[in-house]
Amino acid sequence: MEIASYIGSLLFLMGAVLVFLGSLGLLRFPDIYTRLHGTGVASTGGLSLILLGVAVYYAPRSISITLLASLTILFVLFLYPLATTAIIWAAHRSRVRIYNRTLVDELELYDSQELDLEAGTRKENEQYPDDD
Amino acid sequence: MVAITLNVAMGLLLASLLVASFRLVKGPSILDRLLAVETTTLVILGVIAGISFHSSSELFIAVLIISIMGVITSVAVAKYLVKGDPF
Repeated sequence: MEIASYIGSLLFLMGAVLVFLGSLGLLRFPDIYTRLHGTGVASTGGLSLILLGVAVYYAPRSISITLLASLTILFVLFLYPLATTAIIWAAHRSRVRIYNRTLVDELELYDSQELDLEAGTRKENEQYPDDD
Repeated sequence: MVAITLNVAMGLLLASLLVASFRLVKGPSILDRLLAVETTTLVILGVIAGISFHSSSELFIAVLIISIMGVITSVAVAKYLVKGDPF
């Protein structure tokens, strides 16, 4: 029981450090596409570490909170990349400013191809033919 | 030992809440602010998880519901800004 408390609180501390570093990246990076890396990668990982710490902490005490925390880890790891992807799509389609030292913009290719957002598929376009 | 670790971690979470709210005030485009709101939701989930160390209540239903609602909010606002329609 003591071991589980120590490991759980240490995981919680590591997750809190990751969340803090992600927020610091949100403050310090130059444009929205790099700020995504702070909050979308580091903070999501930090939150799943926090929930893992709670799951380990409550493993010898009550198993229901452990199961619920594990389910929440799955939800966070599946759903938060969805939200950040939607935000970055919206930013790129509404032409939010890109940092002027960016080397490659791969979304530009897809935006020039007139995505059909209703169907979720790409329209046929003669500008970029498939070479096979 | 455990109490000190939990207090330091809660302090870090509150500091990151402060930093994210600074970006929420400053951010140039509205999507920066949306990203800051999403980070704020995520930090609030961490704070609720930290509170559940002290009182072993069934607080985790709230964590589950707030995580799903934060994601739905972000996707709806992003699609509304592009298409003028969240659906």
